[in-house]
Amino acid sequence: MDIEELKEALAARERFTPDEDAVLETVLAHPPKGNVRRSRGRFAVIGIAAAVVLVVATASVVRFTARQASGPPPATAVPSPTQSVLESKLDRTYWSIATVAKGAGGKPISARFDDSFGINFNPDGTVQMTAPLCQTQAVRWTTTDQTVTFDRLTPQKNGCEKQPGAPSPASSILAAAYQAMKAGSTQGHLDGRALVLQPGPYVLTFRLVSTQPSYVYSPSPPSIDGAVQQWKDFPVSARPRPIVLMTSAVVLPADPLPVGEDENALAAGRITLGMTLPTAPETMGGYPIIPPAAAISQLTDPLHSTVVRPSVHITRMQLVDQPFRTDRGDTPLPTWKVTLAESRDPIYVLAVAAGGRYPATLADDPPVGEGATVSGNGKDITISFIAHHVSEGGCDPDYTSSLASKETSTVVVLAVNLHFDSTFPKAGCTDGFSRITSGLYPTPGQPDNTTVHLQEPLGNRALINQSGIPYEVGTS
Amino acid sequence: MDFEDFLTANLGRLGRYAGVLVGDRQLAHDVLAQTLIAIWPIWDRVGAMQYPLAYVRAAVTTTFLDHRRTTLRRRTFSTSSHDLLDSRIDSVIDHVEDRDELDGLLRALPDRQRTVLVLRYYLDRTDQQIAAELGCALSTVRSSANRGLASLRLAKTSARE
Repeated sequence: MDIEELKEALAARERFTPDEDAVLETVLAHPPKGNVRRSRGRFAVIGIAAAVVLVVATASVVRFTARQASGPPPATAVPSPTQSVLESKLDRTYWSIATVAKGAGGKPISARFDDSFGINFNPDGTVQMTAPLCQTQAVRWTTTDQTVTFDRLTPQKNGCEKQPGAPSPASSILAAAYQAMKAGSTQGHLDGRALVLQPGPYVLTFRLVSTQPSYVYSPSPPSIDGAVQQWKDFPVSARPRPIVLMTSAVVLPADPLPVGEDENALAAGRITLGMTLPTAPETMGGYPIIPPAAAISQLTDPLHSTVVRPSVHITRMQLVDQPFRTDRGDTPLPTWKVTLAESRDPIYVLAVAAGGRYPATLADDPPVGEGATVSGNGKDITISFIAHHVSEGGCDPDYTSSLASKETSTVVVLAVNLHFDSTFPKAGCTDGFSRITSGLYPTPGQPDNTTVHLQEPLGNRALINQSGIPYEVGTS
Repeated sequence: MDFEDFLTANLGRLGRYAGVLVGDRQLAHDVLAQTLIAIWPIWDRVGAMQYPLAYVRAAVTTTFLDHRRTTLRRRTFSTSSHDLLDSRIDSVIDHVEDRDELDGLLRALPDRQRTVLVLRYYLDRTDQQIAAELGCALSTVRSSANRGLASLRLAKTSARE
């Protein structure tokens, strides 16, 4: 595989582009409350088209439901909003599409789903569903309302190879779907909402339908004590201060490793030394140092070690100082500089052994905290955070924030807690989406700065948030 | 530019980006729609930015990563291609081409690695731009990209052996 091939594959994924009009329809069904101008022109045309589609779809559902009425009665009554709910108000949090084995007389048959179910229940009462494609993610599962067994299917030359899975508790939606199928119904219940099973050509779609949002974010901030507990053993008096790394310990070349037959050799551990490994000092700058062989082992991935490929060649290893991002900013640290014959740029591997780091384990992608500045006397810490937001109505909640702090001998915790309007969701919040996200989203809240005065200078203590993630501390 | 004009001018390219990033038409619809619904109320601020498209595209990325994180454990299963539903498996395999094989391997990558590869090789972003967009260190971007590429190459090689 070369980069051009990858680019072609990525470009080919444009076939997954969603229907533009459908996206517009969904967005237009969720206008912000307030003074935003109403849609016009092209939007209005799409809205009319959507309404026509809605009428047709609703008629189909009613017709379909009427036919179902002649079959076995549903096990339970269905909430009345189900039949009149708008497509745009369907809760899309849960949805699933599967082919369901259709059968007659206990034997599977190949036929379309039409207006009624012909679910082929196995003798043990399970129903078998199969994901349609035999690819790495495909699964086949059998389910009752109690257990589900996922079997993984992987493509082979002569068909699919089945890797049996172990039974596990059925998810609530599968259990509800099973109960509905067992009752010969297209509708069921789940958590006070309606579950609609809609058969189409070859497919059966499960949808949870609700006129209320099913997913209301209920923030339950981690406790400060939990964060303190994570850092209670931080060796604050150790010299030099243990490194709190905020980046990967391995810095690979800026350009991808060379493409060719040996392209996988590094990760697969097929490495040839073109030199004698240097002798490592026990310490450097006071930090314990890992031997060069240990640095090389960090370049490989154990999952790939069975792949036999030609080798890449290490031509030089040097112990150098290289800056790494830490909780005290970019800090020059002892580093193994690894030069490959096949790469123009070297690889850098942090050379500090576990005894010089905290925590001792290395993460590929450690969480990166916010920035904080500490005053010259070490007692005043300033952080910037999203402080408050005024609701614009509907599913957009008000929130304010408060700052709490706690000091121990090893750590200082600064916890920003958001306080959401207890009346959320407000009237009119019926779109099934939650506007609140968990912090990854560029929030519309207003930022603020706050300075916290500590009882003792921060010193070598760690400064963390309530999740135990370190702030990156700079000086003001 | 008001929100409607923005959508008229950019919905197509945002849709293509969401499709490439997500690899599932229905989920791409949901991610893009959820992003735009969240952006609309604050459009006065976003539209006043120098590069509102860049902001919205970054929001699509974070919505996708957030969406995956919060809903994966609750989703039963979803398929990506309605056209191939209920096709006989062996006939499907006959039509699996290299592109689809690589696409399947892309799906198997961790979300962050796949996102970095999409930003780097589909949008031609520099590593510095990707780091700024994802809010992570430059070395994390490079590490993610290299590990993603290595995984793709290994998986592809292994599949053919």
